[in-house]
Amino acid sequence: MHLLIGIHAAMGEAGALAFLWVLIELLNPSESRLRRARIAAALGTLLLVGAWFVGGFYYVTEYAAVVKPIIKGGPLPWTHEVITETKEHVFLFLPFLGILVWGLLSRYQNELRQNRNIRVAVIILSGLIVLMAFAIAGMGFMISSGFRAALEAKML
Amino acid sequence: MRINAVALIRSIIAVIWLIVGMTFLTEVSPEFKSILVQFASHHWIGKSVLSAIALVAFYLFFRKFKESNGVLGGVFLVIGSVILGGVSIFSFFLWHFVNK
Repeated sequence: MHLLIGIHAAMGEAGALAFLWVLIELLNPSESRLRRARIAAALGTLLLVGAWFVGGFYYVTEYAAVVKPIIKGGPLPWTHEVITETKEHVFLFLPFLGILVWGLLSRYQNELRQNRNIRVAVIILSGLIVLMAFAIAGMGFMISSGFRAALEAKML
Repeated sequence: MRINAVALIRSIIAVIWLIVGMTFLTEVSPEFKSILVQFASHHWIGKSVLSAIALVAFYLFFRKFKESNGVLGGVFLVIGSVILGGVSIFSFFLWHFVNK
């Protein structure tokens, strides 16, 4: 167990839930719901940026030096070579998508009540962020499994 | 300051493809990887910092153009870029692993 992984995962999932909140507020928007959506998008973006920093710090200081060689020497090396490599790069899309959602909500504000096209655009983007964040959490589970399998193989 | 939505959409699309491009280039070019390491001590940090700088630079460039109404179309291009870029990165590392 590592505290930084817990903080990284918690910030990422809380960020995903913030964008689920944005999506729900936009289904039947009013002035107050749009204001809450802007707050949720700003909060979600900050959480994703936080997950980026904490995950990056863990990746550079701990994972690369300690975890990666063990996974690569274990029975499931693909969990690093395919899953970690994909996760660490696809994750970079998320904070930028968060900025886009926040930017559209801030730019169009109450116009979103009348403009269905832009509302649909923000709903779809928020849904994409939620799906990607949970998919990335699933990748984290696979990487942990690869590490555990490698440790078990060493012990047995 | 009013945000230019179309400039932001174009900048995000450009940053997504920049990340995809840097990901491939790091794997196939040790020289590029070493430039990133020299720039930021680790190639992944280098990609992260360059992506953030690129977003600002692209936005400042694209905001010179007039904002159009094509937001929904632009968002579909963003989603297409995310899916295609993500699948490309996954396929590249899978191919790399299988052919090692």
